[in-house]
Parts: sequence; structure tokens; C-alpha cells
Amino acid sequence: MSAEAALDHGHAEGHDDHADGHDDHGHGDLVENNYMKVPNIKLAIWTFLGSECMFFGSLIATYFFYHEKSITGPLPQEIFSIEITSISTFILLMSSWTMAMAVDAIKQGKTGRTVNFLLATAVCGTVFVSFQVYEFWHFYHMGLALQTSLFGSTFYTMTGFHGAHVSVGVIWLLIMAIMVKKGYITGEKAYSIESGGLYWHFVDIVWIIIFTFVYLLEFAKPLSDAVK
Amino acid sequence: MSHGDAAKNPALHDVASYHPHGKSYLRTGVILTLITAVEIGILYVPQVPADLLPPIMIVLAVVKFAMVVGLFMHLAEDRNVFRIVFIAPLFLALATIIVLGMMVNRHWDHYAKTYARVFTQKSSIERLHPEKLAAAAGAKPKLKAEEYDKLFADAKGDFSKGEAIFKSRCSACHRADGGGMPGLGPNMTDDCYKHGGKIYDFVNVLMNGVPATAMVSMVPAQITDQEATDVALYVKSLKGKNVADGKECEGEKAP
Repeated sequence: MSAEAALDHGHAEGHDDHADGHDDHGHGDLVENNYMKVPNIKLAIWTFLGSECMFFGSLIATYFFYHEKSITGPLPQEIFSIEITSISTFILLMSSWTMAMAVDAIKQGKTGRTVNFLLATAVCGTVFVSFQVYEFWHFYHMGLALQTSLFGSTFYTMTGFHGAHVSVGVIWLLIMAIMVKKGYITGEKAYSIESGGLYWHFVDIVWIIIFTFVYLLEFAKPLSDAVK
Repeated sequence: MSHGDAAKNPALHDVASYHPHGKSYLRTGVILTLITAVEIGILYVPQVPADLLPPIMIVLAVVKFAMVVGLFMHLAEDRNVFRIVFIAPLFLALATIIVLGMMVNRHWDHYAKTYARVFTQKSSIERLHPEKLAAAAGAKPKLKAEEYDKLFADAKGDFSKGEAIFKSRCSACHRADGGGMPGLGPNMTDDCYKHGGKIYDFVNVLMNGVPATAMVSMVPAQITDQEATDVALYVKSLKGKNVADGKECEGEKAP
């Protein structure tokens, strides 16, 4: 085997002299990882999501590190609105369901249904981001800017990065919807939609953590009325 | 590649043999919604003890997290390699949050004491910081109330030692002039008292802190007994000064 062919190993035709035992499938297709026997894109997404865990983990840890260390207001308890955030949380949670349904549909080969569920997911994501824009605007007008206090800096950085992830997800969803519509993605390549879905679900679980630990626990302190 | 290869290639999905998950997804979605409703609703139920809320919410959030990852993202039934590349960094992230949280969050003390006793005889806080526990168990000021009052009279208006400590250790919450801050420390210069108006009471607060507020126990972790006395004398001298735009009255107004 020439050096060039060796570099091409795994996706070049004509390497049958290699007794790797699975020549009967996958050759010539970049999507399969010949070693792990999993779609490369899924492995890549899961690895990426692993790194995202640490990314958001640091942001959340930083938020708690500086929690209640702000020496000027407004404070979280004064500006958080559980009612409004609950609505956007519910919408993001439902978008996880529509996303799962989109993956389910493409796996059945139902492309029209897939497009509908992808678009529904994108709409939910857009509504969530709109709620966040409103929230940031509202907080800013109540006197909390990025540079106001430790609470402002850590809160906006953490939730802002989450919102950016949702926005990227919406763009991703729209691209997937167009590709399914145009026939670039069919039932056989369901892993493609599945991978986008993994990212979307991850964005949802980050919000599950932020909503509970940052918003709800703020109102669930022992004798919280003592902090006045 | 021809489509005939699809069934043999794990990367390509076999449409024909796929069983729809629609019903189980709907069930998962409904359960997730119900859990969220419980999380929010429980805040509005006054009968639930405040101490129970955080553990309940943490458990519910973990259940939601596990349901989305396990059922929507299929990690429960997918390949091991995905579990490894995702769960290992997840634990690193969790460790970061927990360690940083333990270092600084004042509620850790409270919960460590409240819950750790349920499971073990000694919490890590008790083993690492016995002095904090001693303070929480009700350390008493060293002198009698009258003896503190006598010290105040003997100082003849010179409270510079206490003032220096107050300005460096207390001003972050009570303001440099003692006027207090919204959401943080009360006004030290009005005639209102939350925990008693004697110098003895001030020393008591400095030693034991006020549970579940930013007022932590200062002695002996941050200042000595002598310094606590100096600060208490200085605070007594502030009382009644009523500095400009101080925080509104909290607690009982002195007659």
C-alpha cells in the first residue's frame, strides 16, 4: 500500500488487503468511524457536549462562587420573576419533546413530518430567546448591567452564553429543516438530525440546571425572609 | 455506496425496522412538565419547611436531567463510548461546582449541619471547622452585660480601634459610616434593634452570627474576642447618630 493510500485508509476503495474484518460495510463512507463502529458525527457531538458540560459547569460554578458577594443591588430576589421564567422554561422543555418527535419522524422516513417538528422546535427556541431578550432588557432597566455587580457579571455571562447556544441551535434547526425539505437528508441519514437533536437537548438540560439552581433556589433559602 | 448497504452499516439508519417512540416521548414530555410544575408550585406552599426545599428541588432537577439525557438523547440505550465521552466531563463539571460552592457558600454550613447529622455522626464541617460549630452551639460573650457597659464608659469616647475594624470588616455590608445597605446589613446608626440593644447583645451577634443571613459568626474565624468587644463598643457609640440616607428601621425601635 502506498503512503497516499495509507493516509486514505478508511475511506478509500481498494484496501481489501487489510484484514480488518469488516470490509463488507462502511468502506467509502466518511460517516462511519471504522474503529468504534459509530457515526463519526454522533461521536463528535457527544464529545463536544462533554466539553460543553465543563464550559457551563465553570460558568455556573463562578455564579455560585460570587453569589451574595455583590455590594450593590439590585439583588436576584428583587428582580427575578419566577412567573415569566417558568413560561419560557416550559416552552424550552416542550421544544425538547418536538425535537425528539422530529428525530422519531426522520427515523420512520417521514420527511414532511420531520420538517414540521423541526420548525416547531425552532419556533419554541425563538420564543425562549425572545423571553430572554425581554428579561435582559427588563433587568437592565431595573439597574442591573454587566458591570454593575458580581451578580450582574456572572448572571449575564452565564445566561447570555446559554441564550447564544439556543440561538445557534435555532439556526442549526432551520438549516436541517431546509436540508430535509430539499431531500439532502433522508431516513437513512437520520443520524444527521439525531446529532442536531443531541445539541438541542443539551441546551435544554443546561437550562434545567440554571432554572432550578439559579432561579428557584434563590427563593428557597432557609428562612429567606431573614435576608432583608 | 448503494442503499442496499444500509442494514449492514451501523452509521446508516434502517428505516424499515424502526419502531416509533412517539408515545413514550409524549409520556416523557408530560412527566417533565409535571415535575417542573411541582418545582415551581412547591415554592408557593407555606407548609413545606424551607429547609426541605433545596434538597427536593435538587433531586427533581437531577431526575429531569436524567430523563432528557437518558430518554430523549437515548444515552440510556446507546453505545458505551457516548456515555464515556459525556459523563466523564459531566462529573468534572459537577466536582468544580461542588468544590467552589463548598468554599464560599454560607448555606453549606447550614445544610451540612442540618442534613449531615441524619446520615453520619459528624459532618465534614464539624471535623474541619470545630470552632464554627462551637460558635453555632451558642458561644457566650466572655463578660457580663454590666461589664461591657463599664468598658464603654471607661473608653471616654475613644473607639478608634473598633472603628478601624468596623471600616475594614463590616463596611462591605453595613457601609463605612454604618448606614446599612439595601438587601444587606441593617443601619447601625438608628435606634432600631433586631437582636437586642446592649453591647452584650452586639458581642453575642458577632460571636454567633445570625442564622441564614449574611451576618456570619466573626469570632474566632475572622476577629478575636478582644476585637469583637472593640467593634461592639464602637457600634454602641454609633447608635442614635442617624447618618444621612441610612437604611430604614429594622427590628424594634428602642423606647
